[in-house]
Amino acid sequence: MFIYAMRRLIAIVPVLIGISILVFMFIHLIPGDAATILLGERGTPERLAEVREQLGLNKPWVFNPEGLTKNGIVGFFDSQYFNFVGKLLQGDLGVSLLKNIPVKTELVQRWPGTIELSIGAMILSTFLGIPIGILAAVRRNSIVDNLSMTVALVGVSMPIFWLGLLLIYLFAVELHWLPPGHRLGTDLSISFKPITNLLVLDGILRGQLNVTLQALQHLILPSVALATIPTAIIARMTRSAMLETLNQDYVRTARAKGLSQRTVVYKHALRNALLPVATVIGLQVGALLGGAILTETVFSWEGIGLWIYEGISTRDYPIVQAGVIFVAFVFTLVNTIVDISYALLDPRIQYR
Amino acid sequence: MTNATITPERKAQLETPTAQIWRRFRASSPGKVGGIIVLVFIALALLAPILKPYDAFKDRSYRDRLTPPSTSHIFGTDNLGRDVATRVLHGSRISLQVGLISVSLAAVVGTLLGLIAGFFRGRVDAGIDWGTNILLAFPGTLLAIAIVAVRGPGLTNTMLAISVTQIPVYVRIARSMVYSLREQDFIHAAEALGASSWRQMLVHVLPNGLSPLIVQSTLTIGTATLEAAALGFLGLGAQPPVPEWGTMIADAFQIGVATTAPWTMIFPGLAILLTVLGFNLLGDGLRDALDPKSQRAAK
Repeated sequence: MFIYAMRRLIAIVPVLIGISILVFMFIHLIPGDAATILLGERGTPERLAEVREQLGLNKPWVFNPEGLTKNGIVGFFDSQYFNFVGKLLQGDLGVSLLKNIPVKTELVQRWPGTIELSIGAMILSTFLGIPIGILAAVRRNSIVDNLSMTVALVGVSMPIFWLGLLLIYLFAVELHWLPPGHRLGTDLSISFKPITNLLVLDGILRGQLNVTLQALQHLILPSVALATIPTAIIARMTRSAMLETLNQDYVRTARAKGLSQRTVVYKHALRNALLPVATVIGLQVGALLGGAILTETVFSWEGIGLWIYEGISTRDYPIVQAGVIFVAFVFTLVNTIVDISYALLDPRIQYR
Repeated sequence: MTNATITPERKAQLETPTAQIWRRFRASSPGKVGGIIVLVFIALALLAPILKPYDAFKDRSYRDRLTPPSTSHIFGTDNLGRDVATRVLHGSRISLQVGLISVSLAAVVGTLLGLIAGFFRGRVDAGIDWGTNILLAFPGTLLAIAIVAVRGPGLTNTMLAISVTQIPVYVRIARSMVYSLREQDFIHAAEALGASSWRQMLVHVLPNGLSPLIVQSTLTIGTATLEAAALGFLGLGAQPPVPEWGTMIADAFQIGVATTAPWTMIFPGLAILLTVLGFNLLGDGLRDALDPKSQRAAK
């Protein structure tokens, strides 16, 4: 079991290498290198050469045969790609071109925003999706079933940025119930000093419950928007898993023993249906990272998605590069862990 | 002997495969609803140049900026005084174009790669599998965004980016298709008759595995539409004044009228939703008809 888990974890190494190659290629395919962007119009040829020297942009892309003769095998790898990977491994993500601060500093500030939003969306979609799925399966082909599955289908077809705008229009602009964006109101976002940047938690830690309350209010609309697709997927998965277990012999036996509908559904059917559902929930965690870019942009939510979006629109490529690598890394890791835990939890699966 | 004893089972055996598929499709209500939505969508896209009450690009009327829906402008007007209904109508052409081109590209490239991986196995398979895993290591939207950010915004790059994100699905389907068919007698027979690998792949394996590919293509047109709209919304897709639905919503959002003049974003969004819904329903229906054995996966 342990060996299986280790093998799966080791298997992601080639994928991570692939991610680094792909992102490196992306950045180098962009017309105009970092030096040109950095200096803009003012770049004299001499100054450009100087900055390129500083940034290591005059080195070869992958291998350095010249370095091989000068410094031996270490020199051979003195190239842009290997320096990039070397820095990545040391946790050095470079410096923002426009803001001139380390990208890592900002990443650390922004990441908790995305975590908070994802937790909000996961809680909503799990606690809505599973009961809807159970109800639809138990009352198969009833109005409840047809209606909830239709809604779920609309949910997976929904452009979430549009849903976000509709929510803002309805609940913030028209009804004034909830704030239209950001993680805190202007007054508190200036005065409050966060600890972990998970603002709901920080309010409790600092003993300022008004912060927690306000953070929660700001969290509701973006969480609903982000949760829409996962809720629909979880509801559909729960329904089909429940339908499968409800047809099993042991469920029939349980019914024949005279157990109540409630016991049969919750103790016998649901427990066995939860495994595939748990896997789908796990996979949604990764999928949320993709949806976060759109949701965060609509709600001006200061997370990693909005950060990447800002990086793209201001052509601050070190940010885009770091953001994309980071998200891909987390995505791969989460999906692998979900895979492993599925195998660990299901005794029928043989690990090879 | 009478013919009155023809049982439903016997009748099903007598049907031609096409008739059988058609019967199953008609029995599937998602398929019917989806089929109608998609047909209406295609009809509108084709008729848009004839049906235009106003010009989608040029007809501006600054006096009528941001007017709410009325009899002369049923979906209202946008910030430049253009008729939203006309622009939504013309958006269907762009959406159809993006859906068809990006999905065809992904399906052809992905299927070929999958066939090659399945047939040649070994290193080729491992290499293609590695590439597929790398593409799957990114959330789809993020990968599309990254590609367009590198290659520059625009409709062509949008289509390219979307098809790259969809290639892995087709590789996987085609590869497993080869794996399940390659030990069948008719493939061995073809091989024994001297058919080349390419001939086996394209003439013998591919036609027998088309069903899941057709179903998948229909479903991915929906995904492609959503992703094109998402890129448009982020300002990376089709550029104004092209009436792409996501770009229209972005227009309204960027200048801050999305929530003060909500018709500028509600109708393009509704068009996206309906189109995606139509293709998803049609895909479900096609799966019921073409691939009845496969369980309706909760995608």
